[in-house]
Amino acid sequence: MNRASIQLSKDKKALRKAKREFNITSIRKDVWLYILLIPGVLHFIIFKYLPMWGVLIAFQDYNAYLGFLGSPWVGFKHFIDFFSNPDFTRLLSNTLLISLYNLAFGFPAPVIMALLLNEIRSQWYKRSIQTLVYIPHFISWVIIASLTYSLFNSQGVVNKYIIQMGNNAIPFLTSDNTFRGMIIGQTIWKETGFGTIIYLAALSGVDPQLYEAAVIDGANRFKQLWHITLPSIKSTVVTLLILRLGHVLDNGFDQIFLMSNSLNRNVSDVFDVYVYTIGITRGAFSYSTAVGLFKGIIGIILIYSANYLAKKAGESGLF
Amino acid sequence: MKKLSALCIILVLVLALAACTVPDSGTGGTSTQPTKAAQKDKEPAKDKVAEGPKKISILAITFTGTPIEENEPAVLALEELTGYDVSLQFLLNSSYEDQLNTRMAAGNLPALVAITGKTPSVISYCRAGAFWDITDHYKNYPNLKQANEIVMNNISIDGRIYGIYRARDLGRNGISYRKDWLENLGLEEPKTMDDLYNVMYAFTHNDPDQNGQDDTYAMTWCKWFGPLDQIAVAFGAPNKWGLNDNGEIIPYFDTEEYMESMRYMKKLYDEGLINRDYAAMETSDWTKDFQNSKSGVHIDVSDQAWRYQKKFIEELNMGDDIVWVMGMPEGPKGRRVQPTSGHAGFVAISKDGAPKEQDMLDALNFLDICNTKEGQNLLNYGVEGVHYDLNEKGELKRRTFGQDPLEGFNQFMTNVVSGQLLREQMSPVQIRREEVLIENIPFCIANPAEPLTSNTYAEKGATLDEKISDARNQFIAGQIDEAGFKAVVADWYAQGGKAICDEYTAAYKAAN
Amino acid sequence: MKIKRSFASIVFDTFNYVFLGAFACATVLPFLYVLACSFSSEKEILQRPFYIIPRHISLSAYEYIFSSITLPRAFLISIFVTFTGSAIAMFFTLTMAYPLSKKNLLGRNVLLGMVSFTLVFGGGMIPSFLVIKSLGFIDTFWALLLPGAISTWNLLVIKNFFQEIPQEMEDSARVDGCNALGTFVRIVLPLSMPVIATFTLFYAVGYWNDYRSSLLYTTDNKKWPLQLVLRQIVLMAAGNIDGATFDAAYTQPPLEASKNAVIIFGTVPILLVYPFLQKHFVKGIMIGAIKG
Repeated sequence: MNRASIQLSKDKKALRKAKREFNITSIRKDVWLYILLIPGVLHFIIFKYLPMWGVLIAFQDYNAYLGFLGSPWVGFKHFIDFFSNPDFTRLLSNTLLISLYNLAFGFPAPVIMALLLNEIRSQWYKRSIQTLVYIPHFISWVIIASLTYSLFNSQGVVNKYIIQMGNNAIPFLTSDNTFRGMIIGQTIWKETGFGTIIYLAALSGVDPQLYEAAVIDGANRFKQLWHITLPSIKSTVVTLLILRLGHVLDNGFDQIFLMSNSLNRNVSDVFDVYVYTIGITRGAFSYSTAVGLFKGIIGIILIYSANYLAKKAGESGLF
Repeated sequence: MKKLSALCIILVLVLALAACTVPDSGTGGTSTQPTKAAQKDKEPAKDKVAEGPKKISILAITFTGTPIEENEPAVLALEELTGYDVSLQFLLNSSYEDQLNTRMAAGNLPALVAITGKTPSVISYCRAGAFWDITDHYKNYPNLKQANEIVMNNISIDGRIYGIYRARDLGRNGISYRKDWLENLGLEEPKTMDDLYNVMYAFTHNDPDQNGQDDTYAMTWCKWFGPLDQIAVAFGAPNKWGLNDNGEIIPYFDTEEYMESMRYMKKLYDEGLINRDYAAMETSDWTKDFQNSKSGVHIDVSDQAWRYQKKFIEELNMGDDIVWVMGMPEGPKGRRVQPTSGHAGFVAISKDGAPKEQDMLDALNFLDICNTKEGQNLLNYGVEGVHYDLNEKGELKRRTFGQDPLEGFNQFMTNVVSGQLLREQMSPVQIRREEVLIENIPFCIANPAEPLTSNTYAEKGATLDEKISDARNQFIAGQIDEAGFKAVVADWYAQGGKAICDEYTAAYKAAN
Repeated sequence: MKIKRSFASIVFDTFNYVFLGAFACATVLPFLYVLACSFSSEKEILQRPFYIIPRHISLSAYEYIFSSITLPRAFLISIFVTFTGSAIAMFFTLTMAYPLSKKNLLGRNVLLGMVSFTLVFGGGMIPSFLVIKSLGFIDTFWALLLPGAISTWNLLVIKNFFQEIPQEMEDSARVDGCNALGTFVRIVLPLSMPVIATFTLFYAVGYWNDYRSSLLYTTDNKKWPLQLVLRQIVLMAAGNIDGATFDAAYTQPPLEASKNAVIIFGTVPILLVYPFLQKHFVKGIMIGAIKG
């Protein structure tokens, strides 16, 4: 009995010693890795973590002239204001619905386009298309909104065709029903091309020998897609999806602000626009910081959950 | 390799550029040489009084992003006139609030700051002491004391004055319209709102441009609700806020006259006299249809008439007798015109840029000189022979440039003294517009709440206002009916409107 | 040996070519319209609703751009910031992503947690401004280059790409006597060219399009980059918050054509970067590495 417990404690000691050695040697072995980390970590601390003290502004009535130390503290006033706003549920549902539509239609679009481009044999055609479709990413929303107006208003080109076909004009710009469709349509048009770049980068890492082997084994194009191509971008898709989830309460202020008006306000009023309107009237950093804090907390929960689920499904996840 | 060397050349060029632009040290305020002359109150300086030039730093606003630079002749002329060393900085009009707030947080505002209006953040800054209270000081200056009392009262906060207002004509609103269309249809300039309706009906249905096609309508609106408010006032509603029989302040949309104006506008909309999707149109697109001869009536500021006419002359080569201008015609309660507030904000003196009282007095002196005849003309028009020429009658004609070399220069202009500006050579429509400016004045309806502040309005005013504006557009488009609109008004009261009215009423009674 | 394609395959290919072609047209047409407008007279822009080829070419809009030093200067500033910024950003991001991709690195999870946290939490405008101010960077180029030097999003995606690189590659380098740094520089980086190309592009686009930094940190208008000025020009008619028409009597709006020309001036340079980098998206980078 005694000997067994002595042996046990000896083993434990040996184990601990091995662990310590492991730590020291692993640090020594990885010293270059730690050196490589230094610039980045410094950057994070200075430019990303240091400004985070600003989240405290959410608990003040911040006045830029009085500064942080001079502005009065109001506790949870802004949060209470925010949640007890009679429009809160409507804002929340509008924000979420647009995000979910975006996720359902806008997220897969670049993946599908990358896959389609991948199937193009002619290198020249492929590269031309790639270069053209990424152009809208650089056009600002102000211009897009103006173009949308001239194309889709009641007397615009699109409605002219619709009337010629014998139907009634569709109020694209001023109706609750069409708003989300217009927004998603614009987003797909603007961002799909640019979004394919990252998937194309992933696809370009696939070893062509895999395809050759598959063809010899008799796989048709669909089977090649399913067994080689898709798996090669799976981890990229999962990574980007997780990153996307962290921003489900963000809608992109410019686009929504420009496209919203009196007649579609019921569905176009989202958090970002609302905070802007309030922020302007009150000059209230505090209010928008409070809402930002709320969004951040939700975002963190979503990202951690998604990451956990991804890992459970066997993917590498974000962290 | 070639690409690489081209890149290197560009990099070197740009690095040289960067090296030349060292962090700007010109954020200081005014500093005075301690001469005896500087301690006294100033006369408008015809001669230089200080040993070295006093410095003044100014924060103005740019609309094009390409504002005047400090080595421009106009700035040098200003320095010579005032005896101050002038340094200019600019905020972008499109991000004015953001930039003002960060500058305030940084504590590096220049001495003179162009403020665009009494926004809640400006009010809170004034109350916190960011800007000098000049109520007791500005009257000591010969030009500044000629400032209009009513407008000064309008820019006051809690009864105190924090800057010199940037003057804008009161009677500036008006209607621009297609004169040639009116003549083609054999109609006369409308005298009443009903006449206006008839003219608009004819513009829509009777082929006013006589091209055989049914391709015109009457009036273009956009997201900006200015025209709608002007029509409301024309029908007898108050100008934003009014007094009811009990001497209480009420909002203009809680009146029967406002409802009547809405019915009128709905009629215009239903009959196709107005562009159907106006609620979705951005202000930047507002003028396109008029310019393209698709519409013929534009309610806004009266200067728009000349801007349209200029485009018809210069770009479309259609002649110089196309556009004309008028004031708002008579409504059922007589002639009522919505004025501007007489100002576009004020020029404030910041404690960051002018820390000592003497700095503040120097800044006031500078503003005073800017209001002499020479000062006003310089800020408005620039330098003779460089930016404009005078004809034999002493009338002024501006020169044309690609980019405006004076852009932003007039944004710290206060113009509190009238009658000193050189007359411009004006086209007939501009002359008529000047007449309309003056004709409007007796019919202007003041806004009693303009000089007052309501804390609830600062907190929630804009979001509440938006609901009313939305409801009006929904009513006009037929999405809600009158009962629906009245329900929104009731909500407005319940969600903070009542508090706003009470606060304004109390403030009004205290001030009167 | 020519591989026979099935009928379904041909149908799919045809559909694919046509569909992608149509989508490309839809995406490029509005841009071509802006381009056409920049070479048009005011009259034509006002009168024709949509066109790709102007009837009368006019260079007055581009003359407007070059009529003073302001816009070309802003352009050079943007070029400088974009080049230098992308280089700085790639340096910071790559050096940080590589160690984080090593799963057995001590402290990795803590660091990754710290990094991921910044995805959703940020300081906000005023605190960031005050940090920059206390560093003395106000009105300098550092304020435009450094804060955006690492995008958390980019960092995490690059890290994941590094994780995909087979361990055998790095092991064979270790066997040859390379330490971590050598492995990184000589093996990992060359293998990651598509990724490096992609993210250099992303950072370049980010820096080129960034107006927020200079809006906050640059007080001297002689140092404004192009996008900031461009944004103001495009938004100009919007006026102030109330929507009131801006002081027209006191400000002269530029012509429509000029607006379009400035947009082209501000967009084309960055558009040209991608085709430049496209050649790095080549398949088969990995061939021979294992065998050799």
